[in-house]
Parts: sequence; structure tokens; C-alpha cells
Amino acid sequence: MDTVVFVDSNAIDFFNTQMVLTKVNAEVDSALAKHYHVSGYPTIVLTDQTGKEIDRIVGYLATEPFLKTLTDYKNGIGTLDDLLNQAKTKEDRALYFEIADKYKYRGGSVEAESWYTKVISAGEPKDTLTAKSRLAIADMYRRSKDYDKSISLFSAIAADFKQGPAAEEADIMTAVAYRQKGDTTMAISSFEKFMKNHPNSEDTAYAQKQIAKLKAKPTEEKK
Amino acid sequence: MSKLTMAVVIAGLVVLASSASATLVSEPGHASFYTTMPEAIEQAAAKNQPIVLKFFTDW
Repeated sequence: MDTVVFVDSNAIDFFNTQMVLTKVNAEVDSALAKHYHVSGYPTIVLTDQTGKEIDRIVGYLATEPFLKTLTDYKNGIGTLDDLLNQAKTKEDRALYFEIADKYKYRGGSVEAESWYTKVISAGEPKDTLTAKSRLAIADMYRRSKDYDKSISLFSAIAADFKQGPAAEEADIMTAVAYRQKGDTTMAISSFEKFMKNHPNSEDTAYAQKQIAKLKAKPTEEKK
Repeated sequence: MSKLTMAVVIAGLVVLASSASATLVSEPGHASFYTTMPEAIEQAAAKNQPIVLKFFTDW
């Protein structure tokens, strides 16, 4: 981002005249990163003059959509407040999903789960938005370190969606959650199951690497 | 001077030092930026502009 967006002449003009750009090293100012519930990088948070969040951009965007999104947010377009207002008069699962995502990114896990649940209840049991919402809920439990709940939810998704993309993600995330939980045996077996169920996945190399690492772990500990 | 008073004085000096060192970073061909929240808030109020916080790591 630093080598593309912030060196673009439009971006330089934009930040010199319209917004106060501040770069925060989250490792150095961890209190500020924690305050804004930053969990992925890069995260761009637009705030008012007092530091109150207006909205955020998580991940990379090219210069033009990046500046447009910031301008829209500044004008109250596409912000969480704007979407919540729209949801008062519009029944739209995609809108509910967007609201849930926004809560998730800013650390509002209770509100996020509630909106993902609305998406699920208003849709079909096996449609894409239902799958994405269920995956998002399971992943929030993983991030909050409730690994047992997360594993149970991911396993249910894998069972319900069989061999599709949702099952693929659920299978690998089950293995990741076991690894994070510290259950090496179940982590290895889950990564192996993932490789067996999804041999053509882009994540097979990652799974293979994880299995090798986990198998090497007891040997390293003996040294 | 009590240990508590000393700690308060030291904490105050650290805050002063850190706010004094916060300056606009200007590099040729790159958007200028600040590095601390107190200075961002001060500048935002002076310019009547919102703040853009870009969080990053060196990982």
C-alpha cells in the first residue's frame, strides 16, 4: 500500500488537503491498535476530529476506490450508521451481511453474530450467504479463542455443505482451530482429512507444511 | 519526594517527550503523515478535517 497508494499524486493531494493521515505501527502503539480492535493489516480507520470511528477499510484497495471509499465515508455514505438506517426500511440479506461484517471488523462480535444470524434465518439453509455467515460466526469464536465452540461450528458447516467451497474452508479452519487449541493429534488428523477431502485445494501445500511442523514438534521438544 | 510522586513526574515527562517528538513526516513523492494520535487530533481540529489512521506492522 505504501508503495502504490500513498505515493500516487492524487493520494498525496488528497491527504495534503482533505484528511489528516496518521500511520500507526501496531506493534509499537499496541494500545491504540487494541482500542480500535485492529486484527488484520493493513487496517485503515477513518475517525472524526475526536478520534471516534466513522468507518474502516480492511485490506488492500487500489488508489481510486480507496480515495472514493474514504470520501464516501466522510460524507456518511456506506458507513455502518448509513447501512443500519437502510436496514430499517429494506429487507436485504446482502445488506445485513455487510452490516455484520462491519461489526465484526470493529470488534462488535455480539452485534455481528446477531446480523449474521438474520442473514441465515432469512435465507435458504445451503445458499452462499448462509454459508459465509456461518463461517464468519465460527471464525469469530476461533478469534475469541473459544476453540471448542468454533470447531463444533466448523464441523457442522463441513457436514452440511459436503465437498463445496464452504466445506473446504470449514475443514481447514477446523484444523487451524485444533492447532491453536494446542491439540496436536487432532490438528494433524484434521489437516490430513482436509487434504483427503480437498486434494485440489490451493491450501494443500499449507496443510502439508502444517502437518510436517506439527509432527516435528515433539522431536524438537525432546532436544 | 515519594515513589508515587516520582512515578507521576516521570510519566508526565514521558508524555511530554513523546508529544514533543511527534512531527509531520514528509518524504518526497509520498503523502505526508503523523505518527501519534494526540498530534493527529490536534491537526484535525486545526484543519477541520477527519483523521485517517493507517495501522501496519513490520512483520
